[in-house]
Amino acid sequence: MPKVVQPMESYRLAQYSVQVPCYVCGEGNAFDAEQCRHCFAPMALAHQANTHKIRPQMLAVIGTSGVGKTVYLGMLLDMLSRQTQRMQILARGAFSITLQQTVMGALSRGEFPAKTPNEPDRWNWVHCQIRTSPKRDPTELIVPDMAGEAVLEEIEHPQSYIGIRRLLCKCAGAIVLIDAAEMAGGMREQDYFAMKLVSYLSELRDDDGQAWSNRPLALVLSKADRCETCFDDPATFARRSAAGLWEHCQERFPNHRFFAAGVAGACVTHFVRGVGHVVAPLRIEPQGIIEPFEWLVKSM
Amino acid sequence: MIEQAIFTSAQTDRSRGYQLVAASPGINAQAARDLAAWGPSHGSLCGASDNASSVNFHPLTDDLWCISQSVSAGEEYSGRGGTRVYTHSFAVPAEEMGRFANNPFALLRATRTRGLLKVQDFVPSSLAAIQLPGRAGAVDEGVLAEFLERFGEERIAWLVDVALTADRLLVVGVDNRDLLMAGLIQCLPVECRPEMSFATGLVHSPRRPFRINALELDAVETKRLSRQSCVTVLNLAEEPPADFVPSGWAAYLFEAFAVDGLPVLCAELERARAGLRVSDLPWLADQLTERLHEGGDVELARPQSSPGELVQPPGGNMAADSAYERPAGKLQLLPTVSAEANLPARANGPSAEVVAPSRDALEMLEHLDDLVFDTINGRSPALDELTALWPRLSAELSANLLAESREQYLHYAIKVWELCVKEGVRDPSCAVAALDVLCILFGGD
Repeated sequence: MPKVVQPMESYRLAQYSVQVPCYVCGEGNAFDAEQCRHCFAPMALAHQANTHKIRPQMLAVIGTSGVGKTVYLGMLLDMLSRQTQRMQILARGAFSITLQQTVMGALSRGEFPAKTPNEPDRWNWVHCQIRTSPKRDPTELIVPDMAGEAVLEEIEHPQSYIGIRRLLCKCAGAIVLIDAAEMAGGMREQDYFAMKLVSYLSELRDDDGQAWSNRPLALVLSKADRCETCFDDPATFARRSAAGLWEHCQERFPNHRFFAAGVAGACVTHFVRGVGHVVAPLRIEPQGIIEPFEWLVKSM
Repeated sequence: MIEQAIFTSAQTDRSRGYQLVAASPGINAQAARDLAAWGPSHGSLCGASDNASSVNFHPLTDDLWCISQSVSAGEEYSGRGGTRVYTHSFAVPAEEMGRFANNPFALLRATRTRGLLKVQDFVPSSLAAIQLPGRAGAVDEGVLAEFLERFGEERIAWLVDVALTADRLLVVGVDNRDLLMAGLIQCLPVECRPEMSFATGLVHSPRRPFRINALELDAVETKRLSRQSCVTVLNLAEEPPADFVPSGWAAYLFEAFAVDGLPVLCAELERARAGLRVSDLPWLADQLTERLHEGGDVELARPQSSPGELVQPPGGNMAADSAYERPAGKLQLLPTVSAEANLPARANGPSAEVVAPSRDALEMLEHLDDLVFDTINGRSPALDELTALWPRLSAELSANLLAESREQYLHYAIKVWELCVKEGVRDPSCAVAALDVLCILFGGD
């Protein structure tokens, strides 16, 4: 007698009884959830990590609002995806291309990308595979493009953004961007904000109780193309212009390094009807984009 | 006093970007955090025009509600394009909300009249708490009539039906979203309105869990959001499904509109119903639908009442039923027949039997009557209220009054117990309700 197997329709509901933990915050979600209902990170990160049985490491790129996080990340991904001599990068998941596409699209139109909103469900996430040497196993990385205000809100009011806190606890390293142009102009705000950030990091512990301060920390002086001496010696520039941050890093972070980076050769402010005053790049001349990332990956 | 705060993008000493730039002294740390969490940031307003705006209403902590208006306010300081979203929020205590009939639009109108909603280019770091005189009626008939004319009975019933059952509802296909939400609010009893958080023009974000969000969505976003659990998308530009049958409160509204019952509906919405929740609306709908059909040719004059006062039915003997109708000044509660479970007619409550009590005692007894009979008839919040009220009444009423009250209620509960038997099986809901009441009334002895 032929055998017929008829799956019960109700069995489909059984899948909902198994919670899928979010890769960032670890909280349970339904198997078909698009975003984590607690931290709003894409659940695709968890699914992709499960399929390849590799635990991706997380990297935080943080800084105050308007310092250039989105442009830096987008430019970094675009450069690494085109040149493979130093480092090869491969995006995992279609959502990982969105940031690169958005940034390069804006720059090609002669404008900077729009401000990153505060809401975590609207952030761009990148999940990529990095290969630094043909002989070494590739490293998997997850990097979110977070809003600067959200990071500051979490620092000043912990648990405001669960995802940020969990990400910073778990990340294997961090890139902190500081606006070199403002520091060169004598504004101390960048120094204070960066000090808040690194102080917050130094107090974090990961799940195993390990102190954060042993992890690699890359401090990138962004918009360095507007400062004459920044590219020559970033460390000295930082010591002179951000003494508080310099001292803090010397004391708390044994594995840190200063870099200088720039994307736009020069910028201009012009008036756009219906929009208002807009800052636009006159040309795109990326400098020092890959070096901080390269150092960080090798240090992780 | 009403506290206020402004959330927008600015460059301040503390931070730069979207933040709470100003607040009145009464906004504590927790409220500030909540306002920052709910605050819409860059690109959060639907539509790209300079006139884009949204009226928002949601709970804050500490028995406060937030009513806010988000508008497009010129260029953002950082020069990265896009307009600045400027949100002026008012943290309103429950008492102040009640003065405006729990109608966020009425309160916002009052603030606008006082010139408080103007966008300030140079926002001061601190604001002052405000006093808002005036009040609003329970029902804005003009808004309700315009709502009915614009959308029609069927669409309104469809909207209300989904709004009351969905966890989070996204409404698309509407031009005038403010009218939609104002009309929807008018369709609800005053006491239920605070449960319906809403926004009329913000991009959907799970970080802002509005119960109803009227917004613009393209087809791709509509499909994506429809797939999310706990999110329902309703396109009001479409016709209701052919098999749609309104239920509960939506059904009552549909019938009330259909019998040209806008005056009837307004009269019912003006009645105070302390403790009423959205979960009670199906029960209330049944009661009012019955009354709607019983009303027939009886002309129900619209009473001129201020919010919070009971509506006085016209003179003459009217059958009092369990739906909150209490003829003021009449001590005799006439029996009525409940359609549900063949419960015995509501007996004369102790308030009708006692001799020359004080006015206060009589009012307390009348209130106790309502709670006891409502509880036995299955309205669960009445049980909570009775549980809270009975100890106070026991302390304030004389022993004679208490004993008489207990005796009356015991008689009624025994009748209910005896009659809630169908085919040899006792209806557990009625029996349990009666037992609950007796446990409270006799439990302290």
